[in-house]
Amino acid sequence: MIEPIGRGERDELFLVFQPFLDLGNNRITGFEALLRWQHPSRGLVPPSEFIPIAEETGLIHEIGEWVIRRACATLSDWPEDIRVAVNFSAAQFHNASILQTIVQALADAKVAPHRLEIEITESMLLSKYGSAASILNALLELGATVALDDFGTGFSSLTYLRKLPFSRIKIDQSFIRDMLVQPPRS
Amino acid sequence: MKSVISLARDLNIDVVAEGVEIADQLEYLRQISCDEVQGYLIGRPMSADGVQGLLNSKKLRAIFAA
Repeated sequence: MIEPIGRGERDELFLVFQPFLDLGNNRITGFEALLRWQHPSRGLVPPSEFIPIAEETGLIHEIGEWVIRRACATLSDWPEDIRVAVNFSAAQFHNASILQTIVQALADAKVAPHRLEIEITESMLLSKYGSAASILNALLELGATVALDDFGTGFSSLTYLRKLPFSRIKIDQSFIRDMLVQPPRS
Repeated sequence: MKSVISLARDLNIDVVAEGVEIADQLEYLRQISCDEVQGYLIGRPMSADGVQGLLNSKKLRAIFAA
């Protein structure tokens, strides 16, 4: 059911999953799906290297579709109370067919939409604010949740929070690293 | 961090802290009522099989119980 994205990349792309822990009840609530590329000669290529190229060439749409389908299929094997978070790039949100792709992936995997979380970054909202907002709203109507990733690294964060219906924000790790260096002001 | 969490709460938005690596960070985030955490302390990125193993293990609850 999962189509390879191309002969060259067959079996070279894979997903890994990093857990979220709920501090209220000390339970794992879900996992962020992270894309990896195991190149036959270059070894493991980081997404920061290949995603910008995929965005330039337009291959991002095929890769993104593979990721969402793969993530949903994997999620179908997990308990009902576990969610999966999938990262989306700005380019994917400029293509309206992303909605249909997500609906189809959820239906094929027989996964409830509320178990899928879409992670987007502030910079995505800066580039094409209008179209991203309408796609986000459609995703929320569908029942998916939307998280704002890397929160705090931009400068208009609070404005976005009030304007767009995010379910969750992810505080960037740089803040967590510095959190205990300076004593918190009371 | 505290003010972000309090603002998010007013807007009915959950807060996830990324890149949690040491126990002191986890403890502080717990004190200020951060909703969720992610990072190497909780778990590195893992295969789908690893996920099944983690969900089946009772070890985690013992480690992170307050």
